[in-house]
Amino acid sequence: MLANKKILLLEDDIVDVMTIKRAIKQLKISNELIVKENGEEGLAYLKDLKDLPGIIFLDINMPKMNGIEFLGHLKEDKQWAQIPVVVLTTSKDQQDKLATFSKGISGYMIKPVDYLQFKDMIETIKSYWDMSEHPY
Amino acid sequence: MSETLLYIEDDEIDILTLKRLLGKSSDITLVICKSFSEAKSLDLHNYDAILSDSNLPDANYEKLEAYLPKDKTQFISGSEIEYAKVWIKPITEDQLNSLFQKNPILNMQYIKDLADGEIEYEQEMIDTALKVLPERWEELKTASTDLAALKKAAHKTKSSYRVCGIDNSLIYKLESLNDSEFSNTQKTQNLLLQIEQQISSAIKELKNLKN
Repeated sequence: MLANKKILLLEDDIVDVMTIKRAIKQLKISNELIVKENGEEGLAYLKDLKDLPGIIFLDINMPKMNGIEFLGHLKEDKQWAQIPVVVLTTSKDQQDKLATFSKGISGYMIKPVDYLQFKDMIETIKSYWDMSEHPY
Repeated sequence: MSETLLYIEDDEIDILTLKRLLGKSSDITLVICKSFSEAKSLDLHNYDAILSDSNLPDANYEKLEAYLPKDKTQFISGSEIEYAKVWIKPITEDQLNSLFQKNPILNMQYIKDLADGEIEYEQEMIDTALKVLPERWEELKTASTDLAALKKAAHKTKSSYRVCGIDNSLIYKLESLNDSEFSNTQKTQNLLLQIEQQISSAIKELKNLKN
């Protein structure tokens, strides 16, 4: 279960980072949130990390290494491949959905226009991963 | 239809400044009132907007603020008032137009929901939007000759639009341009021009929310 494991957020947009941080604070989610701005930084963070994050929130469009490229690297690693990844994006692009699901993501969430709905979405993801058994 | 502006001001030079600005607009009827006691004798429901000096010979800011309708009054002052949202003289054309803005570009609901009553956080989000929106426009402008880069920049702009409650249909159009549409330079440039105006108006509205 997610318990007190860290949440890793890969997002380069400051407005989105602020929004997610705010939702987590308002929902009183106590898991530590680690923010990295792109796939490269995400991989560098995971390298040599013993206490893997309980979940990764992943944006697709990021500079240097985008979300899909990041997923490719993540799933090549035996340990990292077990980390549940939920895509948080504004992209409704079918190709993005196919590319990320085929790389083993656990969910694909389109950020709603309404903040309260977005907050509900984060709460639902958290509740689901609190209930679900975790691979490690 | 003409809009009516009540200007409460005792300084002749400031009155002249406003009249000169209004000279460009035939849609606004100006009513001048030079004191608080005179303002009290008027039916304030008759005015679409009220612009008031924050310090009159017979009333200070507190007294004026308590009396004038909050939903349509904007204060203006020769110097900053630490605890109040006042504009600093002289008034600009953009500020004047914003007094009558009926169809704002922004919808502050998202930010208000985020802030959940925390004024400081709301201001922080406004500051962030003021920083990010010009950056997004620069990215769009820079990418304007490269379809893939333009789509990427448009996609990135959506988050800022969402938070500021700006209608994102133009951004969606830009993001979904195909090769043949993009080769129609005029169409792309028109879209970008409209987006530039949208962002520019949003920035003005955000600045007004700060001042």
